[in-house]
Amino acid sequence: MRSLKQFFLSLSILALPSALISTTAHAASGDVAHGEEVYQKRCSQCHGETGKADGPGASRGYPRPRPLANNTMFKIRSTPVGTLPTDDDLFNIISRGLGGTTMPPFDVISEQDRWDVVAYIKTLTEEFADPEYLAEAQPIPDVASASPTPATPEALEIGQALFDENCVKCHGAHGLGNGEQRTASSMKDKWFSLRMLPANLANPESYRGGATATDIFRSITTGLDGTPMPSHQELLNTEERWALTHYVMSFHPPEKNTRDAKVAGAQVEVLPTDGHDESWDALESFRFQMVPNIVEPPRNFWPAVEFVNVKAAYTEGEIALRVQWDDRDQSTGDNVDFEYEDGDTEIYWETDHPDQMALLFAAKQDDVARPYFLLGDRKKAVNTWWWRGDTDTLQEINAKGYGNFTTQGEEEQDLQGQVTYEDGRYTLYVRRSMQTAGKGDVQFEAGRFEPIAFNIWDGSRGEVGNRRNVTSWFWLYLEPTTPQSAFVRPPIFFLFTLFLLGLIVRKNKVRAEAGDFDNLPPLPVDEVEGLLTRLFKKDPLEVDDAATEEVDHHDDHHHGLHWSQWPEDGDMGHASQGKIGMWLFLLSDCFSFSGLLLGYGILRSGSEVWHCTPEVLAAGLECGPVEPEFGLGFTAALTFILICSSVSMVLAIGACMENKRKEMLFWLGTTIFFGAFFLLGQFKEYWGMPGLGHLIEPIHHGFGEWLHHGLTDEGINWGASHRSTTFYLITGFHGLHVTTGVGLLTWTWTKAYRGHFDNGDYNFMEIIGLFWHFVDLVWILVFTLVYLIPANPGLH
Amino acid sequence: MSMEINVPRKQYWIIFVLLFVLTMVEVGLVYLPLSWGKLVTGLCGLAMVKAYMVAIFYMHLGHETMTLRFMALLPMLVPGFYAIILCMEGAARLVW
Repeated sequence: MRSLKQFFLSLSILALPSALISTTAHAASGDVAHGEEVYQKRCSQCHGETGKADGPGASRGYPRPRPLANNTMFKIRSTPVGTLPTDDDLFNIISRGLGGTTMPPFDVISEQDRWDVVAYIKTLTEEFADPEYLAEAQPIPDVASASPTPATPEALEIGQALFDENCVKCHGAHGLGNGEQRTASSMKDKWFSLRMLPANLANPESYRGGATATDIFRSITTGLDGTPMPSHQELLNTEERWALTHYVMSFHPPEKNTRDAKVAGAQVEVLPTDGHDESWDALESFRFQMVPNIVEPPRNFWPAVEFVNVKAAYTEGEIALRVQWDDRDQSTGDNVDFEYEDGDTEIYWETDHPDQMALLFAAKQDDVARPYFLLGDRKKAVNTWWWRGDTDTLQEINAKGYGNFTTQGEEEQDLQGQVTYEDGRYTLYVRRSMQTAGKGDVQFEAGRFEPIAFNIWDGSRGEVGNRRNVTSWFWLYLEPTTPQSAFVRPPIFFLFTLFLLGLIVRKNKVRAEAGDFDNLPPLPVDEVEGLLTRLFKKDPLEVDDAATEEVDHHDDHHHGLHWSQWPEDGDMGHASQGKIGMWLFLLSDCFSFSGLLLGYGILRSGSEVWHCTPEVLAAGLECGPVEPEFGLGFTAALTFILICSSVSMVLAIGACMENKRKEMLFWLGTTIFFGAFFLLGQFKEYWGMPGLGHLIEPIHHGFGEWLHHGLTDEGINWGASHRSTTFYLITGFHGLHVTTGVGLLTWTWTKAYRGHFDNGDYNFMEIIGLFWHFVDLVWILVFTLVYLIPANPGLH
Repeated sequence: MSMEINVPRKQYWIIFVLLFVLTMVEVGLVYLPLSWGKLVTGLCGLAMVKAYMVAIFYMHLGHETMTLRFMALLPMLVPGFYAIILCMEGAARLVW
């Protein structure tokens, strides 16, 4: 066990550097001169060269950028109402940006640069140097300490009562920003007297000061200076403000680690019958940000609709979608032909255009290229499901760019559904057959990624024609269902196989004890072995029958001594020539694998996108065909199989050392079994097992289907991408080694069966074992580098 | 046979269990919300530990002479060195 101790000691030494490496960033006092440089480069385009909010981009922002010169009103502060913010407040705003505005997070520049900008901004308003002002600008204690009370049902109940009393008149009963005070004359900002809207509390992404519990508590406490949002510091005690915070957070959509890139549709027995059917509650909701069309004139510079929430369900024959978006005012005006001037930056209210919504699909299936995202172009048409608020009709219209529309004929209109409007929220419910005969219709199929996008118009906010809110392409994926039994049967089969193996071992043991194996008949392997011997052990020109008989005693050729009887070599100890030769071969083989893995690493690290996924496309990056993930769970199981084969191999060698023939045969056989099982698994991974799948499918729906398919069926094909090709090259080369290893082990088993190792000479067995362990060792690296390390670091 | 035979079966099984556990840890790491850099460092570190265990205990390098150990292990480190240099080179070109 000394080696084990040495191993753990080396492990501890390896871990030491990581404990020593730590980076601690700390704020330093800002350099005003450098802060001005950074400000002019990064901020002046909106806030103006002198901080008067008159930069060239200012008129394209709503709300307008904040004047920073001679300004003592700041929305986001930890300090009391009407006071200046602290340096930390300013630093946080610069670092985090302001949700729902054109102010982005500047965490891309160094912390020191941000502190320098803070120092510069403070020079633009003389009050920042006034001791009286600064004395007042101290963080409010319960904001600074931020100790949330638990979000208990009682707290939520209190929060709801406080919300109804204090917030509903502006934010609306469901927090959608549609309270009756939204049109009051007081709803203006104090810098430009521009009309403002109460925040939609169901869109946490748009909260100006952030949407964590601490952020919301701070905004409730301090209010937002310069806006109609008042401070509640005096009105509510600390506990009440936390209760209100928890209630506000209950409007948020479910939190997710990443932005949605696809709508995953679930298979159901019966489709929901309308947009408010309770069965929708069990399905996952997917959320996408709308952006204004700033590409095609007349452009739209701020989106009146910020997010769209989507759910999907399907049966064998039909699909249903529920799409929800928030709109403070329902508009049924019929002015759909009006065209605004391009570049019009007027902020419109109460216009007479209809609210509209269009669901976009690619009219033709294409695995590589999708249509132009703004309703297609001449080459690639878009199948739209278009709802208009003035006529309340839902129609299928094929588009080849905006204005180039073809409404499908009556007989081809396959959509059923309706749109409802309740308390600031639209709900569109639509259903259609999965497959239709209509020309230009999107066709749905479970297990297939279908492009989907959304267009929404808020008619009362001057949105009509190209002035609309759009999304990029995302994906609609109807998830094929896997029955629970698919997770139960494999372990049962595994245990059953183990049971059979045990029976065989038991039976052989009984037979061995009864003496059945004492006079074993010769196996018909002599000819094969003779051939192998000629190929590997001797110069073919010198082979004769007598020589093949001596093959297992080849070490005797050296001075008539067995290898283990040689005097110990100063450098190599008792290692036989065969073993040293195998180590040299393994080194050369190691370099072959290294060449492959190096090529793989260089290609991968030099690729902007290694694995093309819907998320990558949603992030706006170009890449080849979308490819699925490798089956991590399945490959982990194969890795476990190889680990099992390594321990059985080393136990076989141990049995050989101790001259235990039956045990040696058992462990060798087990190693061969595991090796063959691994190869079978690799075959399934590549190509699937359609024959076996067809046989099992009637017995077990789902498992048979899983067996049927391999990676080649799912789009991972040789030559399709660097990822695919290197995958097959590396795992295929490894598979070739496993095949060779299984062959060598089978040969070794026959030798063991014939008693060639009965004299305790384990040298040959150890040499074969070295090769087999090397195969396992290489797989450890392949499994990590090819399967485990996630692709696309930027999106991880 | 003149050499003393002592098969460390217990040690083999301990290594087997460790290899199994480390593989599970590797798979589990992928699902943790770690940064890409930390994840890759962790996964490569675990893979090296597993490979080291196979070489030392199952391939019996731990029982060989120092010369044979160096002969087998040192050249295997060279590709790792190349990998770091060349992958950094590829990634740097991408950034530029």
